Amino acid sequence: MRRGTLALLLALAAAGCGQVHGCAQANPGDSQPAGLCPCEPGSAPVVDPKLMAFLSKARSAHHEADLAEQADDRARAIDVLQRLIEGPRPPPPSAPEVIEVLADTYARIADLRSALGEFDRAGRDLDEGLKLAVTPTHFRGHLFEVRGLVLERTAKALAEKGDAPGAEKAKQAAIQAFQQAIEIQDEVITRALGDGGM
Amino acid sequence: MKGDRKLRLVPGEGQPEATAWPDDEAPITEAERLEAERTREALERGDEPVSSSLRAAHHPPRLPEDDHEALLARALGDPLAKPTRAEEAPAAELRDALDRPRPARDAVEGHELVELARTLQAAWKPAVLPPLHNEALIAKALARGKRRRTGEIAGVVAGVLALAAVIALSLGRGPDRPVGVAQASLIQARSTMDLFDVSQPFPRQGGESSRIDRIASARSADLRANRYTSWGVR
Repeated sequence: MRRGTLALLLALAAAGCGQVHGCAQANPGDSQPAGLCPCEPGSAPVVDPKLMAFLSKARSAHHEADLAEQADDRARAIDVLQRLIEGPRPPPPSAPEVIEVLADTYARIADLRSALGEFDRAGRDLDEGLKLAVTPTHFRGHLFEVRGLVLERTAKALAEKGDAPGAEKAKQAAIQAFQQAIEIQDEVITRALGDGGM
Repeated sequence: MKGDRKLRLVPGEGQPEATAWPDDEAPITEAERLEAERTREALERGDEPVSSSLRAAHHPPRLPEDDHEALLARALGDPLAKPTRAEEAPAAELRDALDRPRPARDAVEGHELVELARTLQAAWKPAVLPPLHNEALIAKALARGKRRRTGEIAGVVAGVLALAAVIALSLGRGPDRPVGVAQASLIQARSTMDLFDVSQPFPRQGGESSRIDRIASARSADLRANRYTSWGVR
């Protein structure tokens, strides 16, 4: 056998074995998307089938909740959306899309619960949503807006029960929540427009 | 020239066929006649690549619904996606070829997978070597010089290593995991805020379904683009 051919075969063998070994060692969990060599360091989440599967599921859940609401069955709508919240999510690090969709879902559940008079649980749902949507976006602003809505309904319910001080307290809290929502929305708009918005 | 296909004018309907061979043309060789015969048979079977491509381009057949679903499922990463009909046909052909007894199987010509299967079978479960043939091979090998033997052994070892690396590479990566696709070239997950009019906050109530519709549609396009990137398609 010629030396050149022998050297080529040895080089191929070394390169092939090294590549297989290196990739197999890194990231055995294989949470990366198709096509990404898992031995690449510092990988950030990319749009992959797992993210898409979650988004598709969220889409179905919200449309199913629409149908339930149209049938005036808010409990069923809450149940459908709650399953999305409690169901499997793409593995960490969480994609921003997942965080924002879950935050929006928490806001919708809180709205539905408050319409059924479940004000405390609605407040807890909003707290969970705000833990997710920490950066100033319309999703975070929307959570505060729904908090204001929930507190507005709370105030009305308390007033109907004759609890005037409680109603007033809830009303003030609602105004504060709406103001927070406006501040966040202003921040989002200003940041998006840059200097031109000043 | 040997191996080249020749064209000649064919009279239209109602015209007498020209039987005389042009004077300036060399006579048809046996190899050319056999090649023409093979092409004619392939045309009749419908698996002659050039004519099939032209026919498909001119009058593409409708993609069957189950093939469409299978292709979509595969594109979306379903590892259990059904095979298409185009894939099932050669698989059935290979299965039939392997089911045949050995002599009949040897008669199957031109089926690369049959050749591969036969080679793998020989490597995994080789046929018994007749004793006399074995002794003759040993004697022949021992008669060679030491230097040459060392070179051959090194060559065989290197070849085996290269083959092992290639097989390991093939097994180690799935159909949609080509090595070397940089993460930077894939579209990353990101905030969905750029899908909405920033100057318009979300309505106080409702609109969640339309928002998730927009997000899912946009990311679906991103996923498709990432698939193409990972496949090396631009």
